Amino acid sequence: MKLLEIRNLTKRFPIEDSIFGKPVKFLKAVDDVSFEVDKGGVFSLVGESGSGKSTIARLICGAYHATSGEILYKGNPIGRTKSDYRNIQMIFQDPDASLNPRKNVFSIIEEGLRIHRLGNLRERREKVLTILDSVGLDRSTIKKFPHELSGGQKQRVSVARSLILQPELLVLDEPTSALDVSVQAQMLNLLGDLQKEFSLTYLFITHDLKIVSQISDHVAVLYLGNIMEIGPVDRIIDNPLHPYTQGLLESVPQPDPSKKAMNEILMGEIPSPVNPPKGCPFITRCPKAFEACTIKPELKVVGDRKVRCHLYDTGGNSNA
Amino acid sequence: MSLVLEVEDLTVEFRLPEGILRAPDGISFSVGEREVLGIVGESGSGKSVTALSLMGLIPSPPGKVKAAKMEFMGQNLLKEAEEIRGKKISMVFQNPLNSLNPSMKIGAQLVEVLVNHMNMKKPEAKEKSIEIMKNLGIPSPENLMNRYPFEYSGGMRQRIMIAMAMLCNPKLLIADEPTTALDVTIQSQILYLFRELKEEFETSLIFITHDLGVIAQIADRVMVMYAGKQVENASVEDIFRNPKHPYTFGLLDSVPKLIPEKRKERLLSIKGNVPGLLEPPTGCRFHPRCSKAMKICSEKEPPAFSVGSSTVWCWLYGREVANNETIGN
Repeated sequence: MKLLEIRNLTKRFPIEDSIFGKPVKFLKAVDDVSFEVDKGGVFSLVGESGSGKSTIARLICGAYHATSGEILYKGNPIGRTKSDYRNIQMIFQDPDASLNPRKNVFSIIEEGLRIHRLGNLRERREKVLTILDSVGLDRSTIKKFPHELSGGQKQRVSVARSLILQPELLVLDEPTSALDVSVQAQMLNLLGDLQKEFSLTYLFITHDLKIVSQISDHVAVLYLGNIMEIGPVDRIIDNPLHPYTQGLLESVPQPDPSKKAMNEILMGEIPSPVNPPKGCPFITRCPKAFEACTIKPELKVVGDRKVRCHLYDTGGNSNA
Repeated sequence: MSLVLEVEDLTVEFRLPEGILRAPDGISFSVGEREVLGIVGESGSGKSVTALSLMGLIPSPPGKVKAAKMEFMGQNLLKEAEEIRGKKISMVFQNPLNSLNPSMKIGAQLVEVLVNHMNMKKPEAKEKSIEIMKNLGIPSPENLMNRYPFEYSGGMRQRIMIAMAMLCNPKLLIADEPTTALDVTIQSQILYLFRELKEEFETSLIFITHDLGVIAQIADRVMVMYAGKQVENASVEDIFRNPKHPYTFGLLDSVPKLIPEKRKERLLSIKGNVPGLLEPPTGCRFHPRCSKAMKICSEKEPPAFSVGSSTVWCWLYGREVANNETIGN
């Protein structure tokens, strides 16, 4: 069953106004993005900075309004019923920024229950304690304040807070990036366990392909607000088709000294989204670019996935 | 191979209102000519403070640097440091936006280094700066001299920082998490640049990172640090093929793998959290999180044991050494 459907989602931010206050210049952060998340699945959005992955998360959670396109939750436009925003919860990258330093762990986690008027104080306290057990925090944490906790513990509190309303969909925006390696592994294991325990659906946002391969079953690779390749994780990591996906995978430093990357992999940098290149967004860095690339390719089905690249045009010049 | 840097028993002590904090605490290492020493560890392991102490950048008070030996090419770094630091040893930091002056043109910042350290005249310094940037593959350096740091991307700023560090042709470059703030594709470009530069300028390198993948890509030898102590010194091959210390094992197992056979396996993480350094655990500092901890581990601090070509600070090798055996996995 499709839990979440994104259809032709576009978000433009005004960046320059005319002297009459009317916006005249826009930054296209998300450009005609469509994908579907199955119930019980883990879908990852992966990309470098400026690829639009966090903007998509915020659009889904209602923090931004889309310029055009639709977000459907269980077949209906999102936000039509209040319960949608109970069923969708978000976890952010930096727990220091997302946890209120003046509140103790109990009030942080309990807030959602209070807002949705669920249960009396004793019931809420009982629920908070149960959820602390689930995320692997000691029950004594309940009285502590965020500054008394380590980075990993704080992120566990964020997870507990997002789970207290028994959501169906968790949107996780780089939840492990601020953590140390050993704590990151604990967190990934915990997220995997919770997903099974509460039959959750994850939309996982990260820049780290190692984490994508660890946790998710479908992935969309984003570049300058466009999906470049989308499909099953294992297939894409074993056999990336888009030159950008290939470059991204080769850029991941392998923990193996015999596999030193000997030459420069992807030249250049992501162009500014204010001034995106004409044609294929990746044209400025693509080692395989040819004439056709000055026209923006469509996202087309290639076997088990979709790819936005002229190399895979049927009947086109595929060996260029 | 002759040694560029020799450090023995280095301790940096911070006297804080809450108590005395030591990180690093009694570590020893050396860097050979044109060698890359990787220092790897999690936050609070003392790896950055180690680098800062070499550069003489520990504020005192509250900090105090003590060492039995801290020699750079035969010169005592604890005493005659001024003319060495910045000139023969230079450093690149994690966030280039914090280390470049935002209100000064890039050219002026580069020229300043040469004028101060090498007594060059400005036009000469300008020429030299442009030459170095050309060598490092920075596009149109002449143009860049008249611009401000904010006009450039993170990757380009880091290149500028590296160029600045290389201006005086240092014998030793210390890089503290230089690629952590960058995107992967840019990270691989910068790693490539470091490798090229090591060959071209014949520089030794101390490379600090928390990312084992980066270590594998760049280092010749590796020092693993945990809670202010060094736990294992070994060649990069030994660290990845034949790790000895349980913490090194744990770190390696914590990284998700891209190869198909290991993908989606449950990660063997290290339990618990990095301890606070004001009251570090007794004995071996890793013992509360160690899956192989024995009784002695909580009582006595392990000394250095040589196992093969590695040095390990772990009691597991206390009895093994006699039989010249190693505990493999």
